Amino acid sequence: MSAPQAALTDLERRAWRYDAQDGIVELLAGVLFLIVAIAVGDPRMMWMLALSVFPMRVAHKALKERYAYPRVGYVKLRSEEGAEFGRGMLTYVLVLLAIFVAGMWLLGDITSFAQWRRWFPALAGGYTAGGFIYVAQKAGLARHWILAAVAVAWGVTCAIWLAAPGNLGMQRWAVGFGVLCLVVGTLTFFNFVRTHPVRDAGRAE
Amino acid sequence: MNRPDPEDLRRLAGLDKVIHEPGRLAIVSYLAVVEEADFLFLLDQTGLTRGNMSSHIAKLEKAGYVEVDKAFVERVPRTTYRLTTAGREAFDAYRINLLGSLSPAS
Repeated sequence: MSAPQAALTDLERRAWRYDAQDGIVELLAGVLFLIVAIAVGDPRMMWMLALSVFPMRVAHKALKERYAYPRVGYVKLRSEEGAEFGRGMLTYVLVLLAIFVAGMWLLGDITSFAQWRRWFPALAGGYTAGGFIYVAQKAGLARHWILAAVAVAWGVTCAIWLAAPGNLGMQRWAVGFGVLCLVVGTLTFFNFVRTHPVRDAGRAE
Repeated sequence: MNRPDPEDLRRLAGLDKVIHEPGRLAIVSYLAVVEEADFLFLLDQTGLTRGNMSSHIAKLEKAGYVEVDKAFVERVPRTTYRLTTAGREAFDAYRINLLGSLSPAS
């Protein structure tokens, strides 16, 4: 990478970091995981999960408009597009699935649904970690790396030491990780609001 | 020491002067890595004063490099800036020219 390209990558990282400093994404992720826990516990509530995606986007926009932009300004990050990004995501999904299937085979009966269900929290942790790793690489913030590591570790913990019948293991994982995201997001958000006063005057140019 | 290549010097002299100014270069560099940003964001990131920022943005807008969009969000005015296609092309050309001019002589 050339020096000017490295400088541009650094600017992009600063923009991502600037945008992620309010903790709103973690806060909403926490709410989403708690909804996942409800939906997993009672399949009749699955509609809640399907319907929560749109309100989450609305809530994200509303919180940003109300609390973040008047304090630190507005930035719209460039969305990843193109074949390379799609290939990267697909590779991650397939590799993780392959590891999971291999694990099921090594653990004994690959056709046992109970065994698959027991290890679902680890798989969910792995996929969730993928999202946080992506943001961590872009923004370079330690808390995203930590959340990625905890998602996997908590998933393995729920599968091995906190194994429970039925969907309870998956529910435990979703509740535990949801609460963690909620706590991290809330603390980050309140710290952000406390340390960044509203600068309406700076917006009128 | 190698003598400077006249071709490189010609390239250097041909750098886009609208972008070459440090304040404007900072603004354009930021707008090149994001989709769009508002005044406050650019102010914080570039460290420019409000007056400087306004004047640089006006020059970039006049050159057709930056597109300005004024709107009201929750009854607060928000001015959003984004690089135009011409601005992106000019910035890419500027980077290529600058790199070519400053690369070590072979």
